Amino acid sequence: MSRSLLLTTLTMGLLAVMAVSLMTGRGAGLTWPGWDWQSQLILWEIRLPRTLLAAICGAVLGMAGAVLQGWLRNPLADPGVLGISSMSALGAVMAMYFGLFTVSWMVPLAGILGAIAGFWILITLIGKESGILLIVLAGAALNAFSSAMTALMLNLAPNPFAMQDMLFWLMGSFEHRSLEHLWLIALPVLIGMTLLYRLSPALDVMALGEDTAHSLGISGRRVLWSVGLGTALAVGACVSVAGVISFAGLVVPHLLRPLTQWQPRLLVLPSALAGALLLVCADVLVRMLPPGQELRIGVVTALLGGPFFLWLLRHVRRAEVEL
Amino acid sequence: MSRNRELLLNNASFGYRGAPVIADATLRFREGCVTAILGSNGSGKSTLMKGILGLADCLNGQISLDGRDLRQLSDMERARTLAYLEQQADCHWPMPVEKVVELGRYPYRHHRLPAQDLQAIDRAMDIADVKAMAGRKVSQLSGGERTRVMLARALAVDAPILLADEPVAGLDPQHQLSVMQHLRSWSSDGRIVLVVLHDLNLALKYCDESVLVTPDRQLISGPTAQVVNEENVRRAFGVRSLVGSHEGQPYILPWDVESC
Repeated sequence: MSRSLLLTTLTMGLLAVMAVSLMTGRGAGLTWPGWDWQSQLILWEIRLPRTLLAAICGAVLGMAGAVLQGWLRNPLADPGVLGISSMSALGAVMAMYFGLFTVSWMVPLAGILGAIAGFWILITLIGKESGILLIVLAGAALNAFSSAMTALMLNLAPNPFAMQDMLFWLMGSFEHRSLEHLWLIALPVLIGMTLLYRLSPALDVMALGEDTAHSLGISGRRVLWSVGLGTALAVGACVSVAGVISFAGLVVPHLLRPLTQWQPRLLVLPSALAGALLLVCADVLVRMLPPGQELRIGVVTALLGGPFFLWLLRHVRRAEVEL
Repeated sequence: MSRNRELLLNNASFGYRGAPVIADATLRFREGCVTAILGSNGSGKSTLMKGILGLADCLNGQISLDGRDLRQLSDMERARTLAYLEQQADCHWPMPVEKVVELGRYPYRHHRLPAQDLQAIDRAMDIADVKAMAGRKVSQLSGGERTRVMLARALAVDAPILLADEPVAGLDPQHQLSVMQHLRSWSSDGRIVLVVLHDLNLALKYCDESVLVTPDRQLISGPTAQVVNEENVRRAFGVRSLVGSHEGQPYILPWDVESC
């Protein structure tokens, strides 16, 4: 498939599902919004922020997944591999623990601060080195630490309601998010995605190994800073408003890799588009289910993503013996 | 461009984390010359190359090209000056062969001249004899074919200095000879070529100069015919050899492990 065809298809698909998302009400199925003020209010104040947020988070997760898999030369890497996104979750949960969710932007802000703290710890842990193995291990350590801290917060929750809030939040959702949230994350997401996207030409070179990449003018240290800071800002901001959404960042690059000639550089942009497409779809699905307890988006992506991923791996292994 | 470029190591020590592997190396590599780096496993041949590249720490001394300190160069300038073929180089993803070779042009991406890029890629693929593989994925190639693709990638940089770490490992005799032949003609275009080799006869046949690293980390350098002799080979590898010559060309055959 040619690149322009791939990008066009994904863009058209994304616009189509975003339109569907704008027309989808909770448990109401597809309805064309009327022109009366109530319908207009629902459209602009509820469905639009929700749709945009789903698209932004999907784009960030898809792009970060593609960049991290290319950089670490590991198809199992996902946006959470550096431990930065779980630090972001920890920041948000801590804000809830201390009862700061009365102000709507406090939790997201704490999430972004958590992500930046995570980035700082990662860079400090790694020191002067920039070897891939050390980075992955430092990420694993940070992941373990922040997950334990999050569990501790849940464990010590002042009351069952606070605990329920935190748990639901951790499962990820685009519900009840306003345009205010979008404005809050706009800048970090923009800077983060720019940092990540600018790395794409270097990703192909990284496929030749660290030493050869160095000999071709790529500084491992600079790449580490770009990836770390880009992930902290973009993924951290998304996690801080939408919670933890698993699997999207892992699966999307896998799906597209055969369509981009296995060149990590060509995978970055399509992954962002497909990630957005996937999460908007998942969010439409969540709302189309019969009313009652709403399924959280993170639960849906993992529930559908897991089995699908297994199928994909078996299928790919048969078709492409090389990977 | 200046005439008669030379790469000079002046009292240079290379190592990792402050511990020297190569100590006080003073070596001169001239343009138009292929220099073999020889020595037993773990003697520091690769470290010598990595030190020049800035991959191993330079603990003291200078590395200069035409009087210009190599460590003063920016990352991209250095990348355009030194091409490096890593030992057992490989490409992680199953990318198309020509896309891998194209990566050698990465150091020029800010001032791209498409015609020059294409010419360099074309010539590199010609020399490494990988044109017939264009369109295939690197993962579908045999080990030796992949080595040649990686060599083409390094040649595509079109840098004045080429550092090749065991470029003929795993190649069949025909390709070993033809790669060495091509490295020789590559150097005669006014380039400096350094090759880590294990085959002493390829060094004798194709390399004008040699640097032999002994187990006690002494460097013996000079014209290959003088460096690769029975006595030095015994000292460096602990083997006794048979020596001979064919049409005036010396050859050496490691024959027996020396018993202590």
